[in-house]
Amino acid sequence: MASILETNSVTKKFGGFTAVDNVSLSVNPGEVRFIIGPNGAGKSTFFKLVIGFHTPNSGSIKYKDQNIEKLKLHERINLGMGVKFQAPSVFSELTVLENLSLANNRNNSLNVNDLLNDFDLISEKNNLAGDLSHGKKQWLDIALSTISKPDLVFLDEPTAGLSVDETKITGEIVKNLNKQGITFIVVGHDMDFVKQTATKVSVLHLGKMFIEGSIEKVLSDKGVNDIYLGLS
Amino acid sequence: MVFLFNIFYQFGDSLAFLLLAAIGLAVIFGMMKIINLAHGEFITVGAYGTVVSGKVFNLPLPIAMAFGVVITIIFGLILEKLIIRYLYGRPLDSVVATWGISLIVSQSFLVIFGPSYEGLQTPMGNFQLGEFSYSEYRIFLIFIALIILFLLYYLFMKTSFGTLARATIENPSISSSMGVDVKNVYTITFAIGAGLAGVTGALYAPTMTIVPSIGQAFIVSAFITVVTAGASPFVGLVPAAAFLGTVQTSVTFFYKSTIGLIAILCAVILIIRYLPKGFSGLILKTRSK
Repeated sequence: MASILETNSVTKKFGGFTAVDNVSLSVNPGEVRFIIGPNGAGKSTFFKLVIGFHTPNSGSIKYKDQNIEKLKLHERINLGMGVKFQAPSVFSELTVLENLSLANNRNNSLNVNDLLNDFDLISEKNNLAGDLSHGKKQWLDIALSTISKPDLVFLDEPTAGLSVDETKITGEIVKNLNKQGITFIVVGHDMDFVKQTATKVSVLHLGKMFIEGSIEKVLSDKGVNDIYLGLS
Repeated sequence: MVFLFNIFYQFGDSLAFLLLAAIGLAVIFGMMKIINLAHGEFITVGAYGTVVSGKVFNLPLPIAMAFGVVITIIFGLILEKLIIRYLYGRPLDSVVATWGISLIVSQSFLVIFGPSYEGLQTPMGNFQLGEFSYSEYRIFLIFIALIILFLLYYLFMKTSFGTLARATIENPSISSSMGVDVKNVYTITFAIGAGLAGVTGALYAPTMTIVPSIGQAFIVSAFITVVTAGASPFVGLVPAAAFLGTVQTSVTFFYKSTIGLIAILCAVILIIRYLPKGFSGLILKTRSK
């Protein structure tokens, strides 16, 4: 199966520091791929490389066989991607409905009320997004990044600041969207969320790809446990 | 009756001046947060564009005015591409840069057109009420100011472009993540602001002496009206202009115009002190209760 996103020996340096070192990754359509690793592993820099906030010093990034490493964020989005940043990124001065209508630039046949129900936002549809709770802001943000039915969505720490129950609901939302055909690449820390949602996991360590595979394979790896316990 | 009409006329004239002075700046400063000290020069470009095209090509006044507005939009687009787009999110730097632009433009007009330029005749006529004579064109300006403001409110508050522009200016990163070309939205919004300043210059060109510093007559009124209007300028502009116009008209009526100007500056200080979010903040707070 042809991969939907492929990075080939991608490297990013900041002065003398190599934040992402020769990372190759291939994500197939239909996956919920998690990128995990301890602090300083290079997850955020890698995320910024694939969404277009950074340009790699070397290597290539391909989306559906098209090189995208020189494209700006909005150009990547218009190819059929979606992005959700770590902090809830909603237009706080606009209502929930206005936020959704602004983001819905491709999917004209969408039933907004169904979508609001899916994200538990129906009762707040006319409220200012800035007045929502943190959890609902995160869900609105996921709704904004997926409303146009992109083929591939990047999520950066989508459960940051959420309670256990809210994290479970977020997992169900992601799984439901995945069933509808959206491939996800998720940067995350929360292992319960990873276990609930991931179809495959890639572990970064010191900027390099450490191990890839199923959640069971990764969690049973002694090296991964050592990394998370700070033993290597 | 004549007394009341006289008060209404003075008030309306003041209201129209404050609104028209402020509309372009409401977009560029009120929305985009560019402290545009060259706003007066945008108005100057609109005024000269109207007068020079009217005189040189012998155009009818409405066509000459349209020409003046188009010239100002082009002028604004060039400035945005060359300078302003590097100043978004840098309000203090924008003060220095736009002040420099203001000096260059006004001195260029002085070099090219000399210390004054032959103006156009004020259109329409006058009518007599009691012992006073009133300009019909000044009455026309009151209605035009209100119509333009309504259209502006509709454009930025009720259309999808307006929502997009407000959203992009609030948070360009999120807009970009929705596939919006942020630079284009900024450029179009700035061009609208420049065009509105051009409209002001074009409308007032037949009523004023055409000198390179013509825009300076508007700049103070523009800033105090937009600041008094507050964070949501299209909501607060009419009450702000009405309040300032009332203060100016009533004080000027009993004293003289210099005292009237001092009075509105004092009024603005009080507004900033007691209504830091301006009239729009007060209106939105009242609505949400």
